[in-house]
Amino acid sequence: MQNHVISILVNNEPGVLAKISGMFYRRNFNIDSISVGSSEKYGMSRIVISFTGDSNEFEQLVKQLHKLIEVVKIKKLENDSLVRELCLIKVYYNDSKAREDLISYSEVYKNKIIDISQDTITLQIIGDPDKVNNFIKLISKYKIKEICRTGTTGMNRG
Amino acid sequence: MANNNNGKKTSEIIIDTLIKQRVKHIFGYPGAAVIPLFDELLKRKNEIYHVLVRHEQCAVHAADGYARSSGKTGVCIATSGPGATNLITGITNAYMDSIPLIVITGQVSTKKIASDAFQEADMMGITLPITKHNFQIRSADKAEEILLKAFRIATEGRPGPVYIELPIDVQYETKLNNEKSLSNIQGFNPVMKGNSKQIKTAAELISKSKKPLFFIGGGVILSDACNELHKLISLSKIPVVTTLMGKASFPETNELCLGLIGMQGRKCANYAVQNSDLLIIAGSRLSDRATGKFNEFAKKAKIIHIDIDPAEIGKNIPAEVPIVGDVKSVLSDLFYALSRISNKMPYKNWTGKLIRMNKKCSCSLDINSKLISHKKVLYELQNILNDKDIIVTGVGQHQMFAAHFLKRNLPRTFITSGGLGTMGFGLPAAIGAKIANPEKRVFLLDGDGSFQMTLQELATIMQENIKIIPIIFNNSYLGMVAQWLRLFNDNKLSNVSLQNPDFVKLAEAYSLNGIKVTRSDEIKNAIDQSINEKNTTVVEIKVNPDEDILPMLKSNTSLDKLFGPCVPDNYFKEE
Repeated sequence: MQNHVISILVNNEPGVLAKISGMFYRRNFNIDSISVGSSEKYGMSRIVISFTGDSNEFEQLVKQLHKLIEVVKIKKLENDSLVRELCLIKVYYNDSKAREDLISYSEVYKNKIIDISQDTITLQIIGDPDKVNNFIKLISKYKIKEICRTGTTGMNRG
Repeated sequence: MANNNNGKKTSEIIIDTLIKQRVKHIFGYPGAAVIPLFDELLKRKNEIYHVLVRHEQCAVHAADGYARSSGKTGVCIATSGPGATNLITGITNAYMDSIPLIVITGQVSTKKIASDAFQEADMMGITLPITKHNFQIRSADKAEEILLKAFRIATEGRPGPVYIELPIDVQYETKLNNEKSLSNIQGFNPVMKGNSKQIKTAAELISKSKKPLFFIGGGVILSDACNELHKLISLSKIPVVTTLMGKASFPETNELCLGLIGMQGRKCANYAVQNSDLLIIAGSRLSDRATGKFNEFAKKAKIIHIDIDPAEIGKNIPAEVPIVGDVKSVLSDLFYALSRISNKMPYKNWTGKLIRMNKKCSCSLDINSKLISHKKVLYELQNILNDKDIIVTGVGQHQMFAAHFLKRNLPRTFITSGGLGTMGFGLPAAIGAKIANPEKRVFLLDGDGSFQMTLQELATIMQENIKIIPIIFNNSYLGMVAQWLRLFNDNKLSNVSLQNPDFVKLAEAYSLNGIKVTRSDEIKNAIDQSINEKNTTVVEIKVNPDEDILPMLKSNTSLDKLFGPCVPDNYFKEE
C-alpha cells in the first residue's frame, strides 16, 4: 500500500465530477482526497486525486479514468513533486496561556492566524499533507471546534 | 464535415443526422416527450424505418440484436421517465457485451428539469455506470455535433452504448448559428495499432512454446477480425478455445476449434486452458464464467493478452505480454511477425493430442428418450441449419445447451446475452436480427421462462410481418435455477416451477401459428414446418424437466473441476 497522487485534466462539462466519483464507487476505489479547480486551459478543469493502494489498484484506477471521455490527460505526480494542502482549524482556548502557545506553535509552522474570538482562534496551515497532519497532532490536546481541509493539490517540478 | 443546418429544428437535425449516418432502422416506442422526433420520423419514413415494439426494453434488445447480427450501430428511441427507465436492462445488457448502440430518449423541458415534473427521471444519473458515455442536448446548435460524437464513441475503440437525452423544448428549438459541427473529441483516441516490439515478443514466445492455445473472446467478432484469426490459425496450427461471446469467431467444425470454454465449457477446451504453457488471449475481458476461479486459471501458462481496452488487461488475470490495440490490427501484425521468424512448431504433439481429445469430446446428441432431451432438439436443428442461418437465444439452460453443443461456423450467427445474462433477450433480439438480415433465416431458441419475459413482442412480429423460427424448449421450469438448486441446494426447489400458457394458443392469439411437439420423432417435421410456413410459427417442444446441462463448474472453482457424467475422474490429471 502506497500513497499516489495524480493530476487529471478534464473537460469542464456538467456531470464530470459525478462520472469520476461514480466510477470510483463502482470500481471500489477508496480516495483519500480530491480537489478540483479551473486550469490554465479554457474550458478545462484540473482534478488532483490522492489515493492509497497497491500498484495494481493504482494501475486500474488510471486505466479506468482514461476510459472516461471527459478525461483528457492524466499525470502521475512524482515523489519529489510540489504537493500542497490548505487547512483551516478553529481551536478553543481556555486562557491566555493556551492562546499564546497556539500562536507560538503557529509561528514555527509558519501558519497564519486568520481569526480570533473570545474563546476560539482560527489558523490557516499550508503545506504538504504530512505537515498538516503533524500540526493537527501537535495541537490535539486542545479542544478543536472544526477542521476544514482542501485535499491535496500539486504539480511536478520544473 | 457536416453541412449547415441553419434554421432547422433539433428534431429535424437529429433524424437527418441519423439518416446521414446511414441508419436505416430505428426501434422505439413513442410518448409525450418525443412527439417532435416521431413527427420527423413520420415525414422521413421512406428513408428511416421505425419499428414499433411493445415495451421499451425490447427496443434496446432489438437494436442490440440488429447490431450483433450485422455489425452496424443499433439505434433506439423512447420517451422520458418510465419509457427511459424501461431501457435500463437493455442498455446494461449491451454495455456488458460491448455492443454499439445509440439510445435516444426525451426529457421534460429544460425549465422543468429537477422540479420532479411528470415523467421526469434522472436518466443522466441512472445511465452513468451503464453506458460508454452519455450526453444531454441543451441547444439546437449542439444537436448534430453531439450525435456525431455519439456515433464515434459508440463504435470506435471498444464499442458500447451511448445515451442521449433530449429535453422536449430543445426538440422544438431552431438552430441559429452557422457553425459547422465537428466530431473530434479531445482525449478520445483509442490505440488501434499494437506495439510492434510486444507483438514480436509474442511471436517469439509462440515459436518456442510447447503448448500454445488461442483463447478468443467476443472482441474478435466485434472488430471484424475473424479472417485475421483464421489466417493466423491456418499458419500456426495452434488450437483455439472461445468464450460464449467469441463463439463462432472460428469455424466450430474445424478440428482445431475446441469450442466453448468455462463454466459450461467443453472438457477438452477446459483441459487445454489448464494445461497450456502459452495462452494467446484476444478480445476477451476474462469474465468469471469463462475463467473459473481467477487465481487457478491457466496456472502453467504465460499469458499474452490482446485487447483494445487497456483496463481489461491485468484486471482479472495478470498478463506477461500485454498488447493494447484493435484485435484485427494486432492479429494481422502477429501473423506477419510469426511468418517472418522460423517457427518449427515445437507444439506439434500438443496440437495432435488436442485434436484427438476434441474428436472424443463430441458425444452423440441423437438421444431417443421418451421425455425429449434438449440435445435431441439440437441434433435435429443442427442437421437443418446452414452456416448462414442466425441463431438467437434467450437465457437459461437452453442457451447453454446450444452454446455447448450447437456448432456454428460463421461470426454473427450465434447471438446471445453473455455478460448480463438477460432473460427475455431472445425474442426482441431475433426481431432485430431479422430486420438487419431479411434474406437470412433467423432461429430463436428460447426457454419457457425466458420467452415469457418479453412475449408481448409477438405483437411486433404480427404487425411488422416478421418471419422468424421460434423454438421454445418448454420444461415448465426456470431450468437453470432449478438445476443449481438440484445440484447445490439439496434439491430444494424454491419457486422455479412454472405453470405456463398454451404457447400454441398464445401464438394464435397474435394471428401467428403454433406447433406443439411432445415426441422426439416429431421435432424435425415441426421445425421444417415452421421454416416453410409464411407466417412465424412458434414451435413449442415439451422437453425433459429434469435434464441438467452438463458438464459444468461450481461457481468460483477452477476450470479443471468440471463435472458431469461424461467427464472421467482422471480427465484433467492426464499429462
